[in-house]
Amino acid sequence: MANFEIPRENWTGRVQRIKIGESLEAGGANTLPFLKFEGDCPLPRLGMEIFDVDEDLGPEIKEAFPTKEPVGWAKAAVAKGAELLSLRLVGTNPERANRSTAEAVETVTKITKLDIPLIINGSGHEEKDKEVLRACAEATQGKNCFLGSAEPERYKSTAASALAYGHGVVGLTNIDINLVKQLNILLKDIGVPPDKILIDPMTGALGYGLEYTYSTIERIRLGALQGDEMFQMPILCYASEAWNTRDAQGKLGVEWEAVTGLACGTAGADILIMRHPESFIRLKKAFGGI
Amino acid sequence: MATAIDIYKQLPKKNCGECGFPTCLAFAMRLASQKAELEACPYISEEAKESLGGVAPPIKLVKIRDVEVGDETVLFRHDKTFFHQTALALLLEDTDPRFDEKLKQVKELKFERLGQVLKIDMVAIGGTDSKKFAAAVEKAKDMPLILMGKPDVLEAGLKVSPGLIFPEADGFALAKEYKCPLVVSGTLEVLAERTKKANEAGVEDLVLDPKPEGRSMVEELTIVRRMALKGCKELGYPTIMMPQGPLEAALGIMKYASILILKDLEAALPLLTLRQNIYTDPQKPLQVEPKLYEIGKPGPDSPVFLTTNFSLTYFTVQGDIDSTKVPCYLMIVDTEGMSVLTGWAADKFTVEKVAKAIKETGLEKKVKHKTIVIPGLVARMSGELEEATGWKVKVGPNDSSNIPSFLKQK
Repeated sequence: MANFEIPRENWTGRVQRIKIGESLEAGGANTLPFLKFEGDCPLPRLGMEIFDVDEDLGPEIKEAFPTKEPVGWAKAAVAKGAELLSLRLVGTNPERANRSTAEAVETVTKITKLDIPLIINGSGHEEKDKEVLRACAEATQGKNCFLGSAEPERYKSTAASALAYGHGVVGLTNIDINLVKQLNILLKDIGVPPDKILIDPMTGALGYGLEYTYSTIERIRLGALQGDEMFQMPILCYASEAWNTRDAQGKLGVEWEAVTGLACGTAGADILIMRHPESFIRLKKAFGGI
Repeated sequence: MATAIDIYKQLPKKNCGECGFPTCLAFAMRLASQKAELEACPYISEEAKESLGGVAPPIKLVKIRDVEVGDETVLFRHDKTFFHQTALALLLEDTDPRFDEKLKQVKELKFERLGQVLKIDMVAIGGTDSKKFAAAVEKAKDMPLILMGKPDVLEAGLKVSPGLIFPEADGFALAKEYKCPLVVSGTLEVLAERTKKANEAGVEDLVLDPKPEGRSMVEELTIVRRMALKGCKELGYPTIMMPQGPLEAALGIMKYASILILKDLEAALPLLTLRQNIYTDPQKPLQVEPKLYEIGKPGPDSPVFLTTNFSLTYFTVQGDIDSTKVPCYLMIVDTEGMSVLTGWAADKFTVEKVAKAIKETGLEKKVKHKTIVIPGLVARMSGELEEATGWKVKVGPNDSSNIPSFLKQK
């Protein structure tokens, strides 16, 4: 067959290559996931999610990790091969455990001593998060952490804390590609450099809105490859969302999280955060085999 | 791609209606949008067929009983939709001592999600011996089948039941004789040659089994889909894949496998759910059944929340209420799958509908407080709703993630 030519896409854009922590690189793709024959498509970075308190966690996670103690949990996750950690300080929520800012700072400081790239998230309580994230940012100055999250209606204080202490921000929007762009423009306008932004498009788990997340990620990634700079930040997905669904119990939960993660990675996520070590390992193996 | 007018010019213009459409123009319009096949016109000239060849769908639709695969038109679901969901088959060997048990399992496996029944579509039977194979096919023949093995063994099965022929060697003769679709295997170059030869031999319903060399399966299936959509007829067929495990199968569902042959049913539920997600038409959002949902074990004093039947809205609100561990009622109104604001703007989320829902669900008998919490985004409906129903209306948060603090304040 003389005229048999493999079609190769020559995209003009490339995903921003960024650094988390001292040396973990993410992003850098100039084609869609897994299409090595036509360009660069680094496999997603795989991280694990940990919490300062374990009150919302199911038995699967409590059996897998020393969840009562966040620093021990962090160590165990690193031992399992996590390339980065995402810490959720849910215990600081005044309507929940109401842990103090000082306690949060102590936890964060201890974890950064493990030399693992870190994403620091508040509890979602707007007022308390301002204080907690600022204090944690200060305590980890220069460690190049990422702070989560900056949202369209409330991004200024997170961005300010990040800028003041040399960290990045995770921009969270609600499965809406237009908001992704808007938020990135807002962040840029107040001076956050593009290599200090991660896009969290919000992860709908398998069976719970995954198709919306999947197509939103695909469209963000295609936008980036077509040269739109406001879409060129790496995409971060929480496959761990799977554990918040009713299907995710026992062994099925592991499958649920792994398939959620694989789908996000296939759509274009550059960083995937997992909660269970088993699904983490399965996903790692699957990516290795692609 | 030819326009409806270009196509119309070449049609016989008899307006006979034999194609199933009232006029030739109507038929031309369907052809242009790839919703009809040229073959439906009994009077089409050879020249017209030749010049309108491009009207045929870029990827052939192949049917194995009621299973339809192929006929896709886009690379990304957001560009339009994926039309024919990946068919899932379970592999059973004719020598398997647990054949009957596994067959029963696959037939009985059914899940219901969002009003759809999810199930395994086909059985693939691996043949080793003519007699055993024929017996195995006999047992499974009420399912759509994939028949796998050497040609002589396959023939024994084909005498019992038709199916998709997946031969170890050349299967043109069998496909022709038994009028069954055929799998062809090989590298891209080999596939293109074999589909051409198959066509010449009179076998047109084909399925591709790509054997990547130096590339991965995702790359190969992506290339096949891209080339087919660019008009490469030789690769314009559905594809088949035998994944190594659940995650490879999941990848096949997302990236262009039309049929998957699974070795076990271990991850059937996540795979079927993924397939439902990926093959949902982005223009027609999944909807949940409009009714009164119980979260936890609510009683007569439990709060009642209200939202729309767009699945994502429901899942989000339900999840946020669930996280509070406070038992609640969640009233879902039929907004034809629209979210709160869109439904409000499009007049689908109205006072009348809410009033009707309150009545029809018998909410009055379930709670004694006669108070309902509406989404903050439709705060404007509260006055009218109170008037229409006599219920007290409380305005909830704009974003359901604030439901936990909303419940605390109460």
